[in-house]
Amino acid sequence: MSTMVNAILKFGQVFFLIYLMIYASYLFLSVAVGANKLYKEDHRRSIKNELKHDYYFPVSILVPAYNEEVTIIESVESLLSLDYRLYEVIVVDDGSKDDTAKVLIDHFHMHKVSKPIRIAVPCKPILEVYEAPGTKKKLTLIRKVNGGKGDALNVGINASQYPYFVCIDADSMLQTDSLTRIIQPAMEDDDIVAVGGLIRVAQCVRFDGDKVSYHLSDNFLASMQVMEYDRSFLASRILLDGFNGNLIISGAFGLFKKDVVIAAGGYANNTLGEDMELVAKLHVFCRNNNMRYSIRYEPNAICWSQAPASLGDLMKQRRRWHLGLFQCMTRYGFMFGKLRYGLVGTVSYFYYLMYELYSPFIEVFGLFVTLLALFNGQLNIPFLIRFHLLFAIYGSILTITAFFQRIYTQNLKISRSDLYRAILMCFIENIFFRFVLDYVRFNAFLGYGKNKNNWGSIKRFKHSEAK
Amino acid sequence: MRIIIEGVIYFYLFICAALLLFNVIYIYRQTQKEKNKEKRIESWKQKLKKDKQNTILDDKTVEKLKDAQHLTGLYNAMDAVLKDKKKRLTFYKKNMAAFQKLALEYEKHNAMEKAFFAYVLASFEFDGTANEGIMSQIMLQCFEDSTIYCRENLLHALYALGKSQAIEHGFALLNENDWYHSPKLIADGLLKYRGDQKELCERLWRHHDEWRDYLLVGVVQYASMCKDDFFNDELLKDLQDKDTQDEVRFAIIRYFMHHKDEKILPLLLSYAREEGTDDRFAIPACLSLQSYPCEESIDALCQAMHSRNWYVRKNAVISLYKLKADKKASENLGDDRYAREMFEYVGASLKEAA
Repeated sequence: MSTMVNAILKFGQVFFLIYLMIYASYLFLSVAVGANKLYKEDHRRSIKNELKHDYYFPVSILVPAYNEEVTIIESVESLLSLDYRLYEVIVVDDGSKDDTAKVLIDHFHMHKVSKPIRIAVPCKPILEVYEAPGTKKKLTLIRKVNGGKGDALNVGINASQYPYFVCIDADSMLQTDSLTRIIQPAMEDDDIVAVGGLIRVAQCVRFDGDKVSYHLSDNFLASMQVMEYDRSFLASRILLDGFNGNLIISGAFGLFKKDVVIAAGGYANNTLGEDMELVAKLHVFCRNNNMRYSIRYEPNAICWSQAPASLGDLMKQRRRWHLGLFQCMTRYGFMFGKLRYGLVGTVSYFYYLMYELYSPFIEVFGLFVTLLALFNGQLNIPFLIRFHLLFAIYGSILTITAFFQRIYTQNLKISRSDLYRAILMCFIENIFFRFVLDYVRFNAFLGYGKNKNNWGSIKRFKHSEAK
Repeated sequence: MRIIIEGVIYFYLFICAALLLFNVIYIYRQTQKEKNKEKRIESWKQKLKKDKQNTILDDKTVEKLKDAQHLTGLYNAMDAVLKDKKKRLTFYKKNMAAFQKLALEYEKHNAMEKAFFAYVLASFEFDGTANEGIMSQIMLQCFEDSTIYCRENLLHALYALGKSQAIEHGFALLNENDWYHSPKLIADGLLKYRGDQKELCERLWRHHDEWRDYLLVGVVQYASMCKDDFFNDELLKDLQDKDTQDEVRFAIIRYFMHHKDEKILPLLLSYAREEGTDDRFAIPACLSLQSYPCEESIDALCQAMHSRNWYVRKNAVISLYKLKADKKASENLGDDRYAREMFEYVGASLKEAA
């Protein structure tokens, strides 16, 4: 028995040494590479801002909406006022049970049209199509049978008329220059098939025309997520971007080349992570067809998205994310380690597998090994406490660094009280909050069979009222 | 073992703390820079207001302007004070030597700063009397170690300088180095060229056998937007040549919508009727036929309304409405639900747009 315990402890020691070394290095590299890239970008941008050109590609903005009557008008209004020459907005009402379609039809005086839609990617039946007369940009509403977010986006792709499309969540808002920023990589390189934007927490921002004023949200959970977004999304995706290795473009804001997405089969409608699934699918499609391609991340293209403001909503969101990740990783498991899929199939896949998908289980295993060592009298408690604190300080400093990077690269001004709060939040996030999220992710699989295609609903607020 | 991991974390911790410090200092410096920028622009404005277009950039000032921050100051002040294009050009001519010195200096700078210098240059409306040839040469040298953003601005400077040979050389550099440049940017940019459009098109089209499709498509799109028909025969010949790249052929078909030429009609009709194997040619052909009002066009478009290809149907219906042949089209819809839906929708949209 004691031989077995010793073997488990020995294995645990070696495993966690390697696991933590890789994780610490990954975090460090993310922030260091992110800092370097953002610094260079910032230097370039100070000059680039002086160059005023009117570059554009026509773009279709697709807004899948399910029970979004509270936020939809505000979101569509903001989408119709973007500083971009040629684009259309297509809202796809995915069989909402509330008055999402009605509020849009009433507000924009929309009328029914018999628009013929080319079915290039499969989707559930379309019920009605409406168009708005006299809006600044063409606005279309499509009502369809409920089929999930991926299905709604497929309808949008079918109905869109331009060669690039942007998908955006119905509760999100774009900055006036976001479309210009996200299209730039595609104008620079014809091989680009997708570009991801930077998602930020909408509760922290107020718009006054082009001006953006920033104030850390009063809601504890929302400001906690600000820190998490900065560290995980900004820094980590910049690192993966360095070798065309991003496996996720957030469904809240991404640009795609339509013909490639159609050729790859469009969005999957049987997964909770249709955004990640599409990106993985594009990697596989382009590599299998020996296409030159690139999937980029553009941190200057900003989308403000509402973060869940209650623990219940946060748990629903994270459960969905984690199950989506699980579905995608299992579906594209064949990529792992294959030369054909390059660094995406090795480095990116390995990272998402070990440090995202399995991390809650590994942490539980860590807890088990710790308890085993304690009962076996092999636990050095002062070292355990010191090590935990050290790692928390390390994580916090990385988070603060990422937070400051974002502040300077986006020319934001924050008050002194926000600054102190941000620093405090970074520590709380690293010492406490991430374990709450691990718990949520660990529980995500409970009831998986029953809920694997269920999105769950999250309470929405009007942007002007969200704090 | 735990010493190793502790050591690594302490090391990373130290670097991260340094990074954090760097960020804080950087934010502070940026704030200072922003303040200085405003001061610089104001000082340049005062100078230009005082001397107007007669301001002379002496050696000391040229030295300062080698710093891109100072050049942005001058440019912003020029934009505010020297709004009149002639006065702005007079200012350039008085300081031609200084600008040439700066061009040679910026050639060595990074791509974004080169781009900015080219952008400043493109803001002058050159008239052929400001030694544009020399400056064009320097701009061409700047293509080395450039980014797409830099190249777009260099091309804009070349269009403004107005030397067709230099533009040709610039495009050749894009082609040789396989630097992709969006045809839309090329076509929109070429519209800024104020010289002889015919001479430029002919010069560029000489390379139709060598250059990549994006360059040629850009040139054809530019020619489409020019008023005169100086290019029809060459393009028609290339359209009939099966070796011409498909994207270029599509652009040529669209060209003939803007530049009507009866010689192409049989070919357009044949594409619209999908007589070849590739229905992709029918898409632009159906749209171009709206410029050829005759019975044959209407018949071919009525036939195209029933195509399997969605875009062919759409373009055919658009053209039929433009040709005011909607009555005949409606009689030809038959039981084809897809054709009828398209016909009704396009009709309603055009009515609303009108």
